Amino acid sequence: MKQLLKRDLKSTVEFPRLELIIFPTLLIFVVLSQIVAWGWGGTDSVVDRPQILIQAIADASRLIFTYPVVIIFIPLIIADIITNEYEKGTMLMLVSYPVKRSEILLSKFLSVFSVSWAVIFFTSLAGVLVVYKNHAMYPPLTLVLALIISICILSFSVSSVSTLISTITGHAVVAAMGSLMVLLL
Amino acid sequence: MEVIIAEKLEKNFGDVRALRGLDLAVPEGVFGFVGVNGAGKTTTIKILLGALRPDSGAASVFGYDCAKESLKIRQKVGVLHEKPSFPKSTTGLDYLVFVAQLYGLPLIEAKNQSKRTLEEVGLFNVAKRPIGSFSAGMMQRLGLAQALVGNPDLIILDEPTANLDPIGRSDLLEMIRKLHADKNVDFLISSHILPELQTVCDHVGIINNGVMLVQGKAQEVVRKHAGHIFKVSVSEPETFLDLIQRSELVEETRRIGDIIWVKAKDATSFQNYVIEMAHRKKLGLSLFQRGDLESALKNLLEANKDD
Repeated sequence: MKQLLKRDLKSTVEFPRLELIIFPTLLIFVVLSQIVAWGWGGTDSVVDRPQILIQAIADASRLIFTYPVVIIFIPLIIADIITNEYEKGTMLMLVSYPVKRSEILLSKFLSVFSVSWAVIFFTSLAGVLVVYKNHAMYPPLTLVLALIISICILSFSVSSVSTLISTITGHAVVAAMGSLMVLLL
Repeated sequence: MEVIIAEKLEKNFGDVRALRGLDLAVPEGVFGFVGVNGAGKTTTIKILLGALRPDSGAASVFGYDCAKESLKIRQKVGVLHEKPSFPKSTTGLDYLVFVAQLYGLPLIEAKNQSKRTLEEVGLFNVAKRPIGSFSAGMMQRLGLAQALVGNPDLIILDEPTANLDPIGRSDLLEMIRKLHADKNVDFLISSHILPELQTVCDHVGIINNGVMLVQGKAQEVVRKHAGHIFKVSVSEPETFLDLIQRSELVEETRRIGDIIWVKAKDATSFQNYVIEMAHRKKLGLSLFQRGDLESALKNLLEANKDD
C-alpha cells in the first residue's frame, strides 16, 4: 500500500502534470494577492465607496477565480490517473502483482485527494487573506480550521468524482470532461 | 502433483469465442503452452491470474481457486506478460524494488534481491537508467527480472523470447533450466517459437481455437504426432526428391527453400532408406531430423482443419 501510494503520487505530479498544476496555481495566487495588496491600505479607515468596491472585487474573485478554476483544472489534469494505466498497459502488470484491487483504487484516490488538497490550499490562500482582513471578527485559528475543513470537503468531492469517472470510462479526455460536467452541475 | 488445473474454461469477448471449454493440467516442471496466434494462450493466463473471470468453468493454481483466491496465487507467481510496459521515468532498479516490496520483501532485502536479479538478467550496468531509454530487448529482460524478483514458486512467461536477440534467447533458456534445477521453480511458458521451447520443456500442451488438442510429455507428443515427419537438407534436392518419390515410402513431400519436409508412411524403413541412399548416391546429407514440436503442431492443426 505504501509503495503503491508513493508510485501514484509520483505519477500524479510527474511532467507535464506538475507544470500544469504549478503554473495556474502560481498565476491565481499572484492575481489574488495583487488584489489583496491593492485593498490593503484603507481597510482600517472608514469604509468609503471605492473601498467597498475593492472589497467586493476581492471577495468575488475569491469565489469566482479560485474554486471554479480548481474544479476545472483538477479533473483535467488528474482525472486520467486510472485510464492512463490502461492506456500505457501498466494496469495488467499491476493487477498481476500480489496487491488487492481495493488497495490500487484507494491509493489512486488518496494521491488525487492529496494533490488536489494542496492545489486548492495554495490557490485559496490569497482569498483567505481577504476574508481575514475584511471579517476581522473571525479569530485566526477558526479561520484556519474552516479553511482546512472546507478544502477537505471540496477536494474530496472533486477527487471522488474524478476517480469514479476515470474508472468507468476508457479515455482520459472523456474522464476529464465527464468529471468536469458532473462537478459543474 | 498438478500445479495448475483448469476445467472446461469458456470465455467470450463479444462475438469472439476465445476459449471453448479448455482443459489444462500442468504438472510440476517446465510446461510449454503451444499454439498459434489467437489460440487463447494469453486469455488463459489472464484467467489463471484472476485478471479475467471465465464465463464458465473453473481453474486453480497451487490448489487456490483463480476466481476467489487470486491474491494468494499472485503471491506465489511471477508473470512476464506479452508486452510488458513500465513507468518510463523510473529506473530499472527502482521499479524492481517496488515490485519486490509488493511481494512482501522488506526494503533492504528488496534492494539486494533486485540487484541480484538485475545481474542475473544482464541489466546491472543500466540499473540506474530510466526505463524510457531502454531498448526493446532490455525491456524484455526487465520484464523477466520483475517476474523473478519476488522469489515465486511458479513463473508464467508469455512469449518470453519476443524481442530478444539469439544470445538473449539462449541466456533465457539457460536461466529457466537453472532456476528449475536449483530452486525447483515451475514454469508455464507460452510461445510459438517452438525449437527453443522444445529444448527446455518437460511437458507440452497444444491449444488451438480455445480447445486443448493434446497435452502430455513433450517427447511423447512429438513421437506420436510427428514421429513420421522428417526434415531433410541435401546438396542435391532434385535427385533426392525424385528418389524418394519413386521409393513409395513417402506420403507427402514439401520443399521450402533448402529444407524438404517429408511425411513418411513408415518411419523406420524411410530412415534406413535415406541413410543408405545418402551413402550410396553421395547426396551430401547435411540435415536429417526426425519430427520436432513444430512439425507436431503443424500436423495437428492440419488434422483439425479437416474436421
